[in-house]
Amino acid sequence: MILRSIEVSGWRCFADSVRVGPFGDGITVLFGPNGTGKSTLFDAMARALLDRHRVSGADADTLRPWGRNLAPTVAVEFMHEGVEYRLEKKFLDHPSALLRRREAGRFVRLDEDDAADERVRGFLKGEAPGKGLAQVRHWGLAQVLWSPQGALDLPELSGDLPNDIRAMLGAQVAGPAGSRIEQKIQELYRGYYTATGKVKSGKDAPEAVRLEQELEKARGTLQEVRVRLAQYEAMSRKLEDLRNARAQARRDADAISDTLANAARRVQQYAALRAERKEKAAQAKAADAQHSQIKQRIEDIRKSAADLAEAEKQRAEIAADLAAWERTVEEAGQQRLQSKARLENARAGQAATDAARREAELARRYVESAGLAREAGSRLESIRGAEAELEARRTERTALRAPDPATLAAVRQAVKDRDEAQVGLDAALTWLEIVPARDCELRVVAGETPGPQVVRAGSAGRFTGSPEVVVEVEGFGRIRAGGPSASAEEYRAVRDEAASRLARLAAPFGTQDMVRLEALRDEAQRLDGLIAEAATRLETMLAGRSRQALEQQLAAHQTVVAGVEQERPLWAQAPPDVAALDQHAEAVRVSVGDVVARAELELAAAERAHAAAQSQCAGLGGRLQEIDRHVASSRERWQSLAADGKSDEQRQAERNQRELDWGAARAALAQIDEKLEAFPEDPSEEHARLQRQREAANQAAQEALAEEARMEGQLADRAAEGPYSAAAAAEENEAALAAQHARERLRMDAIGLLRETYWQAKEQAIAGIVAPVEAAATRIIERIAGRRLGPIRLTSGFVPDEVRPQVAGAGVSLKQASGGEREQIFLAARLALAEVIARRERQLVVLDDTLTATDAGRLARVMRVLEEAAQKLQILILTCHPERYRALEGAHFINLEEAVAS
Amino acid sequence: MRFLHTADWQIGMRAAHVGAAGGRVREERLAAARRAVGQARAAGAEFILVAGDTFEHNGVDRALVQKVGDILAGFGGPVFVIPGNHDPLAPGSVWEHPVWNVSPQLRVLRDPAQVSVGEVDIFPCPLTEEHSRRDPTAWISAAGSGRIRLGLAHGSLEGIALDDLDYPIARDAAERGGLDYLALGHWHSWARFHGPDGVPRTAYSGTHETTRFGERDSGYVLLVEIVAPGAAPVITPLGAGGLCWQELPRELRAPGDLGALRGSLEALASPDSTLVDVRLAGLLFAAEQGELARVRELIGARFLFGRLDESGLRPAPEDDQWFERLPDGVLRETAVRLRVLADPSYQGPRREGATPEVAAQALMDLYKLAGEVGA
Repeated sequence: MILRSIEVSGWRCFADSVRVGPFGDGITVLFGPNGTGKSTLFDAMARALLDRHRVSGADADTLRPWGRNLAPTVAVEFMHEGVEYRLEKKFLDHPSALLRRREAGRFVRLDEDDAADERVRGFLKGEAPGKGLAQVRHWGLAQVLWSPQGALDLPELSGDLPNDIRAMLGAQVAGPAGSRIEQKIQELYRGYYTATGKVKSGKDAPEAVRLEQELEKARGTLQEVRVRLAQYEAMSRKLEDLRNARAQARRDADAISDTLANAARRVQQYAALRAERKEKAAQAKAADAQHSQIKQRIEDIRKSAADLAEAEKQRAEIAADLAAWERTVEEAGQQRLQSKARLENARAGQAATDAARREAELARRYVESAGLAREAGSRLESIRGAEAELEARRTERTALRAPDPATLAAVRQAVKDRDEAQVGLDAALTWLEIVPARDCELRVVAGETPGPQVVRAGSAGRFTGSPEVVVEVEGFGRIRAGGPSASAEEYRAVRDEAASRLARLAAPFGTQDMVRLEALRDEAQRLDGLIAEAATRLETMLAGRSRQALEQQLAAHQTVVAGVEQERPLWAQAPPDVAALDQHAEAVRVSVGDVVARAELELAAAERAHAAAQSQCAGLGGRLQEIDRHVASSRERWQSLAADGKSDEQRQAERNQRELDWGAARAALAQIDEKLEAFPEDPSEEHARLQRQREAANQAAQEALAEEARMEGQLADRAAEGPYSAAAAAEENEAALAAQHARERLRMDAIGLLRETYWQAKEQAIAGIVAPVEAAATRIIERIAGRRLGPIRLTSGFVPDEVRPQVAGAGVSLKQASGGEREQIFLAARLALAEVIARRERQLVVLDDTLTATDAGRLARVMRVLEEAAQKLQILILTCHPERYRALEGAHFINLEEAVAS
Repeated sequence: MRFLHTADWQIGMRAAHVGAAGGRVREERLAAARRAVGQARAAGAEFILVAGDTFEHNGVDRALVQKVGDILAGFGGPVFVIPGNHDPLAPGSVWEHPVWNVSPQLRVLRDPAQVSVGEVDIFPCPLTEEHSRRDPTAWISAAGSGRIRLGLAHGSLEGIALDDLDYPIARDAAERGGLDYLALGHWHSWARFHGPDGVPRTAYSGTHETTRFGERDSGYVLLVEIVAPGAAPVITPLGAGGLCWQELPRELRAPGDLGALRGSLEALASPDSTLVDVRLAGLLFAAEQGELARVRELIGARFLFGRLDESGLRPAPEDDQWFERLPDGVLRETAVRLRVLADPSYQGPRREGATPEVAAQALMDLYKLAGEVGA
């Protein structure tokens, strides 16, 4: 549908009739200042096309001009699917609607009133509003195509518009029947689930939830009654156990009573036996004591007699041994004296050994001293030679006058100073050279050598001076030569001082020649080396000692040699053989030493034998005294024991009798013990233990009886509750609820699964349909804003949802976009959707006071986009800033103010 | 000489498997007990033998104990009861209730000791615990007395069932004990067993009222007549049960099968005392959805208890008509996906809770919605 003209009267600010148009197929900019009625005009058009003519209510009354009671009327001429229409509507007062169609060049009535409303609304696929004014959601296709004042944002598209758009895109998602089924699925789903997919709760909770709660409660009750039933059964078993326990306790007590009676009898028997045994034991003990007494006396007498005999026997043996040992002592003494005499004889041969040793030692001292004397004499000879050589070198060195290194360095410095001063002097002097053609006389007036001089023809006469040289040449005149201003006198003074110093330093050596001086120094150094070498050699020979000490040592050795030669004159001719003398001395020592050693050993053995014999004698003497005392005491004890006046035979007879008495007593005691052995322990303890057991058994039986009575009471109470019946009823209730719940749950889950399956299928289908619109919108926004914002993503209902800037890497909500970019994104989406809607025919796009936040640069790009869109769309721009759209090529501008005025 | 042999009244039995109908099922067991006593009276029985498990549990409501005591005492003649393994003679048991001491005719036989009534000697075998491997009849001596000898016991007859060895009773217990008849309890189906001489001297009366679905030959009491010691007992089962437990498993193979099922259900007599268990399997055709809803409604409303198991149903694979009617696109894709998930053999990924049963229900829901909007 495209708009051709609109005419209103009695409509808000348009009390009088105003007609605007005709509108071209392309872009029309309807402009005027605020309040001139641009948006009112748009509102009138929308109401004409989409509202019922019989609309009423407070909102509808606002359509009247302020303060006037006029009936709002509007006439819209438009073209739809190539047919021209004129729609005239009057609201509020005598409302009416008339649709006419151009046929054969004139408008012919087509529909009236509701039919007219319905038909025109159908052109835009709008929905019938309720009682009041139509809202944007009722606008059908115009939801996308028309932007009310300042509202470029796309609302959630309502009605079948999304499906219509999908259909226009050639895709069948659901279709009308599908939409109704989807709606029913949704209604069913909302009966069970919330918008977020959770099962409803509270008063809106589905039956399954209520049943689940009841089921939970029923299960709780069931659990409780089952517990009580289990308690009942446990009580029954417990009571049975108690009865069994009580019966057992009674049987135990009875059994213990019988055992206890037997035990009492055994206690009596045991006590009687114990008393009898005590008496018999006393008798046996007395018999034993008497028997032991006589037996002991007999044994003591026998032992005493034997002891006395043994002592006397030992005494005789010791006395015999003592006599033998006394003889041994005497013999050992004689042997010792003989050994001592033999030792003294052996020791007499020791003098020969000492003489041979001394001779050998003397010979060794002589030979060693003679050798040392020779060596010392030779060494002293060498020392003297070295001392002479050292003295000669020193004399030679003393005679040589040579500069030492310091003096030589000072001389070298003086020569250097002198020569440098001479060079400076030469440089400071002015010189004049004359080469006469013939011999001439001249006179040096000023110069180094004043006075007349003759210079031969052809030779050069050179004259120097400072600061000038003046030469007077005969017949020629004076020649003056000037030169440098340096002081020749200073150099001369330095040179002279250096020369003087050199003369003084070199004077001791008789020459100033440096070569000669250095030769002298080298010679001096060579002599110093020879002196040092000789001194070292001498020190080596002396080995840290003085020559006098060596001479005293030599004298000592010579004294020894002379002394020995005085004793042994022959040794002076033939020195003794020290080794032979040592060998002889050793032979003598060995021979004499063996004899002495044997004698010493013999003496020692004799002394030990003698001492041992003496010790034995002393020991035996002591023992003899001791045994004498023992014999005396034994005899005294024997006499005491045998003083009863009885014979041994009498005593033995008495002992035999006592032994018979004791045996009889023991036999009687053994018989009693045999009887007592039938009792493994004292039966009184067993009796006491049995008594305690019987008391415990009785106590247990009493307690079991009491517990049994208590349990019977509890069990009767619990049985009276009928716990099984209660459990049965609870189980049945739970089972019934569970079955009911399962049915409801199945239904709820099935609806959930149906809805989810449907939605998944729908999402997948829509994802493929929305894509081309997204691509078209993205192309438009890229032309306006570049690629910065990235692709535009639409919801399944074709509403822009987010953009995906490349830098963000993920979707960005439009809420995060700037106001300008946001309106540009929505413009792009509207234009992309409008292109889809306009595939079959050109459509009217209305932009009422939009793009107010878009900057001039982007607005220029928007203009190009609109110009291109105008090839398929009729675009109506309502604005109070016409200058912003002046750049639109081919746009038709309508000044509403002028239109109203005209 | 005639007497009534009954057992396994299981009074107070829980019936969770029938949900809310459990109370009614319990009431019916008392009503059946009254009918049994009435039949004993009507048949001229001299006494009644109750062979154990009179009660489901010793913890049943004491009011039930009182009612059962009153019912048995109402016979007017001797009634001999033994405790079974469900109601053993244990501390706190139902047998401590004073109702058992009110009438001298009503005797709870608490010891394995011979008792006599008229020309008959009875050898009771009361149980004192829930489980045991001992033969309760082992104590019965074969010594002949020239009188009719009856055994009264509770347990499992050996050689019949291998999986129930509680209180095993020798197969030849009657012959071994010189009994003319051994009245047994424990098994819920009535049965008689012939001895080597071909005479049936051992019998289970079964429970007097069926306890669950699939329990065959139950709901009877036995009227036994023995004319003389050694004579063959004449055993006559008498119906006592009041409930009908109807199992209806159906494999749906073709359209119309559900209609046939509905016809069967509608033909069931006494729906107020009938419990039905319908298990459907096989293929559900789209056109049968309405029929299935009617069956569901019938089962839920008409009977004392109804259970319908549809988990075995699957949409007929070849029945793609309603798929074709769905708008091309999302809805059809949804249906295809749900059909895949509804296939138990599907091995692909499933989200939590998306069981074949849930998916099948979701598919059915979608089908229903498609029908509502005329898609």
